[in-house]
Amino acid sequence: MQGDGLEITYWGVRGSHPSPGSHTVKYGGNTPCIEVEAGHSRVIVDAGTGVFALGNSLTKQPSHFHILFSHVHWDHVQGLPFFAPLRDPTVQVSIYGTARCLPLLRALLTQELRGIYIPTPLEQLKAQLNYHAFRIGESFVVGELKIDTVVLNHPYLSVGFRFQANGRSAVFFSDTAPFTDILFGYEYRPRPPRPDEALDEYEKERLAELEQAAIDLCHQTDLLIFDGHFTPQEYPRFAHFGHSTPEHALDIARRAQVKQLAIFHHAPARTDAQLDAILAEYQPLARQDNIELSLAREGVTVKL
Amino acid sequence: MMQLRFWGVRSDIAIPGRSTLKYGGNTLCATVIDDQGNLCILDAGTGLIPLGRELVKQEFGSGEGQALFLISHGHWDHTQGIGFFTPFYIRDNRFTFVGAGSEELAFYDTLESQLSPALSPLQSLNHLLARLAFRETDGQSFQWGTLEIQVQRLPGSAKPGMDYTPLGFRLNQGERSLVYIATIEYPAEELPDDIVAFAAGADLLIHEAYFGMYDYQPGWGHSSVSLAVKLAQKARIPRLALYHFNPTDTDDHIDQMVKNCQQLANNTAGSPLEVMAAREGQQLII
Repeated sequence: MQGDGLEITYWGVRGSHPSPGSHTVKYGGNTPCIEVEAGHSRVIVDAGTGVFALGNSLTKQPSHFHILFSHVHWDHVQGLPFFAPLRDPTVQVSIYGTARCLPLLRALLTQELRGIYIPTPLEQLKAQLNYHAFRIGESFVVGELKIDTVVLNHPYLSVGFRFQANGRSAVFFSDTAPFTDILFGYEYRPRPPRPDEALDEYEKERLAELEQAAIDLCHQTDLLIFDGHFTPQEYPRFAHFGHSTPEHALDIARRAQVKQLAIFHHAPARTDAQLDAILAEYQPLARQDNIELSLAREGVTVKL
Repeated sequence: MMQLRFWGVRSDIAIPGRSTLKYGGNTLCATVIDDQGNLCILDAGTGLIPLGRELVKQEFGSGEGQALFLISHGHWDHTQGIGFFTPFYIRDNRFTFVGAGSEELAFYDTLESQLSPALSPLQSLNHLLARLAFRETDGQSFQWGTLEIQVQRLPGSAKPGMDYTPLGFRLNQGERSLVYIATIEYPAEELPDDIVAFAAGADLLIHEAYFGMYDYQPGWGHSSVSLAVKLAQKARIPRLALYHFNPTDTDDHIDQMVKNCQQLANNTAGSPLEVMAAREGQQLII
């Protein structure tokens, strides 16, 4: 990349499952994948179907890729086996995830699951793979990028990442429920709460802690990328799905005093026209708090 | 009379974007409806998801729908729509799945293990509200509505670790029939007699087109598209719908492949053959 700032490129912005068709041509129909670059350092975050185009777009390939995983729900891993650099024996690929996710990622790439789930033969995968487990809350470094982690409120846990380099920062909270209606953060909840079932004190305290840690991590960040899967009208029916609305995103952005907010993880059936309408509705609201609001869009690079 | 419709024609991974707008970017799914309205769903890739949104506008929306799923094998481009198929979330809809397992996993387990809590918020097929039944094929033909369904085990990749057996399906109604071969790798690039016999005399062959005529790579579990043309001709099938396209194939590439196949058919002595490419949303009456 040029200069010494921090750059974010969106390769997949759609949640749950890929959504091909004429209704998604503008914002894109690929599942989550972003690229974060600072100087000569680069990481890929999540490997939804967007990583397929990323892998095929590289004209001058680096010899070492770093791929971070927020979690391993299908929409965040389904592009990985089709990432073209994995077929190059001269390439090294480092995979980063929590200890509970790494065995599954390893199985997807190396073991028996390939023959059963993935339609390409194992021997095509020639890159040198290595795996790095991190604990949520831990920080680590990839080249010039300092990376911090926080737990989000999502089934089976999702990790939020902050990237810092050259005095700039960006935060990726791709999958999280708001910190109000249900506690997913540390344990899975087998069923949604009944409408008459209030959260108990323990759950409320835990959620408040999770929320504070999330807000602390994105305090005054240059760019917060946040789950805006549902509209406020849809949300009550899907409160237990582990996703937020643009209103929830804006609430966190305000309290953390972020500079730019990008709504991410668009619902698969949401059309380009509907997304344009969401942007038109929330942009003026965000501006009142000096927040520049955008919708994450495939192919766009944000320079910080 | 059978009504055929394609909902997803792409292999491996869904490909959204401008380069796939004509033929569509969803992974594999097709439907056949017999003349009494019985619904048969062939494979359950992401094409299944828009199908589900259509079905809930009819009897599936009120829990009165039923359908048969024929799954050619458990690779996720044939199954990844299952967790997002809205008729599964409506009580009393009924579904029967027919497919095959692998050496390690029963058919049911190939589907169930793809919905484990790590991979899917759904966590289990048991959380679906509809009634689902799973039948491992015994290779025998069976009846669904007025359709007679024949099942044929097909050769797949011979490479180690590729533990699966793809199935081919033949749907017959009266004098009419179509053959569905979504995934096959012909051993030594020869047409086995049992597969020619299985397809013989059908009105339409739906056949994979993962590789073009000149880029076949052994071991991937797929075949050169020229073998699709040869099978159609040898089995005296008048129409061939290319299906299961490589994810890197753009619409233009597919157009060219159809031309090449048509030319190959025209230049080969044998029964006349019309070649077309399966397109998302396209309907054919058989």
